[in-house]
Amino acid sequence: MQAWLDSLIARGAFGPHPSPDLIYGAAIAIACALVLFLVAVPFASIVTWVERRVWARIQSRIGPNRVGPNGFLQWLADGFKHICKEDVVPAEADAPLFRLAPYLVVLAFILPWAVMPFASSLILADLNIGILYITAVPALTVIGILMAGWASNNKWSLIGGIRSAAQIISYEIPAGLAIFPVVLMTGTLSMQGIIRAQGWAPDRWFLFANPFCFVAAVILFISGLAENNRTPFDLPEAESELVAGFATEYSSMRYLFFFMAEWGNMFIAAAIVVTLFLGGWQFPAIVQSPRLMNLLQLATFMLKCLFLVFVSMWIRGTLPRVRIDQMMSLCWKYFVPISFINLLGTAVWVAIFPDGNRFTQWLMLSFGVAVVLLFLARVVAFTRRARMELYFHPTI
Amino acid sequence: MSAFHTEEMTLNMGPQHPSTHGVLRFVIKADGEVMREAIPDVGYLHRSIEKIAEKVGYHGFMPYTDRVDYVCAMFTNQGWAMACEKLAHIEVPRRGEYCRVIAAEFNRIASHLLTVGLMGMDIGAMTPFLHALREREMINDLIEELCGARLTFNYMRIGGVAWDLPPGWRDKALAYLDHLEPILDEFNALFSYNKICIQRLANVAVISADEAINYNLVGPNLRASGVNWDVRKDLPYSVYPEFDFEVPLGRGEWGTVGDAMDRYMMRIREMVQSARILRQALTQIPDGPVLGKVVRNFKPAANECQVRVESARGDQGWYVVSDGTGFPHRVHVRTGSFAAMGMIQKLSKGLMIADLVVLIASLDVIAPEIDR
Amino acid sequence: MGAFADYFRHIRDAVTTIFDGMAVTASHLVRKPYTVQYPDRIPTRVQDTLPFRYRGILDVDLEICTGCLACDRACPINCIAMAVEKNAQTRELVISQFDIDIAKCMFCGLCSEPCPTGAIHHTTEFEGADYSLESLIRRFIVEPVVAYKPKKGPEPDPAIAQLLERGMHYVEEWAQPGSDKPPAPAAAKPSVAAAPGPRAPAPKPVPSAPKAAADGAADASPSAVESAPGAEPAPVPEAAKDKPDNA
Repeated sequence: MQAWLDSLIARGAFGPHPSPDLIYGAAIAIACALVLFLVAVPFASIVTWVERRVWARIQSRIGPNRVGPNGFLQWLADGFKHICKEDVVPAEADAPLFRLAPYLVVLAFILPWAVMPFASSLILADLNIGILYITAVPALTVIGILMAGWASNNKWSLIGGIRSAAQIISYEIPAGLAIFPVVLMTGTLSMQGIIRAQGWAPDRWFLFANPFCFVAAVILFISGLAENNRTPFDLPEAESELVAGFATEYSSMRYLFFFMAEWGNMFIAAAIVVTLFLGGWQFPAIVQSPRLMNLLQLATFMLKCLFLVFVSMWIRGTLPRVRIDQMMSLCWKYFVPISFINLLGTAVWVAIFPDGNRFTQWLMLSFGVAVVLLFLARVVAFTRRARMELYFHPTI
Repeated sequence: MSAFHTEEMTLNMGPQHPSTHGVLRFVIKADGEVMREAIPDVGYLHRSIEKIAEKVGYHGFMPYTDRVDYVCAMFTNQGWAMACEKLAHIEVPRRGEYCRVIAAEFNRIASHLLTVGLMGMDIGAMTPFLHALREREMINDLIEELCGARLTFNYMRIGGVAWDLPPGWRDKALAYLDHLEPILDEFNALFSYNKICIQRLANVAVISADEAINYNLVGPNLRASGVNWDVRKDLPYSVYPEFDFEVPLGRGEWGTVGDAMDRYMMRIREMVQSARILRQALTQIPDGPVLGKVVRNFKPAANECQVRVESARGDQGWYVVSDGTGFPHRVHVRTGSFAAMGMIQKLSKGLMIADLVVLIASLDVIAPEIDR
Repeated sequence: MGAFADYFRHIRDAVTTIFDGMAVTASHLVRKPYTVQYPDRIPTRVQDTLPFRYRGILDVDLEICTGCLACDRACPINCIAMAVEKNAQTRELVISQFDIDIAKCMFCGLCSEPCPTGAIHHTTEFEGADYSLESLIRRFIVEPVVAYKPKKGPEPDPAIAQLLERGMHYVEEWAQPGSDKPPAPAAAKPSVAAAPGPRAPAPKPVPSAPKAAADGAADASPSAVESAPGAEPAPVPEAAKDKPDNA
């Protein structure tokens, strides 16, 4: 690669007085961007297949299973179908804005991947303000969605766009406040720094560090759902009220972009929670090879993220949608005050126990395990109580 | 400082809107998210069914009654059959009446399952809808075995029913009733008692008892406002007096009496009561013929009659005028959805756009029943 | 204070009910799906699993059609077009047209109900998609055929006997007016009072098969006689004279 660039420079492809450092830097950046794009886009697409399968099972259906093994290639078929469709721009729409909006949304979905801490040395840019960056950049989505809603020149789209703006801006506040407890405890804004402050064992995760952190994690996760327009906060595209909200007039690939961004943002929201509260890529040092270690860390990180993505799909399969005023009151009357109390509580906690309290960590961990066990007991109870063994149709 | 100038926004909702249950249309005058008014526009599903009756005769009209309210066609069947029997003084055998009650109550459960499922769908939860539909499919399978069709049953005949219960059907039906109650508990845990669902439904579009009576609401919508009126109890027909069941009333546990949550819970409670009736009917059903002796082309003397049945959407009235020929002179159906639709404009004032779909779903209006 | 308590009650309710709801959906993740994969990934064709009473696309067994026109008259939307004429020499009834417009048909079953032999019946077939409305008109007659004439004893032709057995099974499935038990099988029992005329009430292999006629006999009022199917403009005038008597 370097040799190829050198030969290009020698041939004068970059002008008479090239600066090799700049060119190397640009080439590496482009290569990384390409790799990320090629990871992020298929990832967001494959998540659609996972979501449809999970959703289907929750609803006693089978889900897409025709294209490829278990329907795994459904995302390719869907993408191909969308590309082949006609890209309609309504006659009365504001055409340039209408065309631009999906790209802004996709931009907001691609940018955060730059600071995603996949493993101890697998990170594109370990910014010292990484956590601020990763919460700020996805909020760019609101510009794209508002633009789409306005440019469509459709009242349903407009309502969807306005709802989205109100929602994303409101939920930025509890999301931001929920980050501060962790920042208080670690004293850093760097993604890697926060992960390094935690351990691989669950009792060393910030989730169980103190009760305030636990609440903060829940608030952060729910705010993440709201910022990505996921159920129960999918008001901007509420299909039973606003037809398809801001995406009503979109078709073809542009329509797909909105939803690719939505599914991709699910992963980013999950990654923030994993980094801050679930120990990120932390993995016990059982192998010497740094390369292998990085792979294991990558797997850990991805598994944790995918679990949270799964939880968000599962929530989507369970909950109805809240109303716009309820969404606002949830944000301003519940999440924001509770986040402030959390912040104060954590500050006091850090003042009392600067190095954390082992007893509380174990207590919180056992509380978490108890909740999970209670949940499993409920699942078993429901499975036993209402069996679906009654099939009148002989083919089932 | 002058007030900020705002404009009223006129929105067109339907007839091709995802949550208008068929082809309803509303013209919404909205101030942002809050509606000033939603004006219903009906007539998109008018098929002049009442006029058809004058052309096809008494027996031939039976399949058309299925189309009056396709979600609970058994009741329209029964209403028409009862009206004709009253005109021509035809007696229905007891087993026939039991078959009618069994089919109709199963149909009531199926219809209410669809209603509660659609409520889930309308407030954004897909899973309750599909779970309710799964249960409804089982009833459809049962009814299909009974009368050969899943939606447009054409099961009843003037003088009885067209088919007796098939062998083994009773056991299947009882097995289904055993299965239904735990499933309803599960459904409640999944959806009805969910905090978001209660927040969305409670205190929305409250109808007081007086208003409900003045606007001529019937059935579960009326009872949700606390008015105890059920044709099965108050003007008993068929063999309903022989069964022991309760008429659930709106209690307002989650908000005000007569809100959308009450109307929604009314359906869940009625399903439990229907299951209770069905259990009794399936165990008490007598032997005997199911179809009375009816002349093929009977010609009732010039007369008029009015019968009422308690359909899943409430008190359904059938008014038939005969003129001595083999064809009715005039038929009129009075359906619950039409009255409910008339109330939407009044109730919609001050609601949010998201509440309008809740209001439509909680009143359980079905487009063909409005227009006919 | 009340508002303060409400605040925490809301939080508690939200957490507990969502907890339960999530448990329900999680329990469905480990249960069997309810749907089937129509049409290709099911062990048997759906058509073969449908109940006997299923009202699918109409079919006619012309071998046992008596040409009585009861189905034509019963159809509320006139989707059955039949032409029956009488051969002057042989005194046989000849069916020259029997078309059913499946596009119009609403599968109500009113035509197969009065059929005395079960010749016109609903199959379990429901896949009727086609490219034109014309091709949905099922034409059962290629060239005129002689209508079936019920025999006094058991049916001699085994092929027709088989069809008749199926047809009578179909007929018996319908509720018989006023009778408690389904009647005895068709072919096994000789007809009680086989009328000479080849029209509808004539084939009486089963006492209650021609229901309409039976009704007429049961209800002895003049209007009932008048309204018996024979009174309708029937192709054979003498039919009205055969007073069908019920067994």
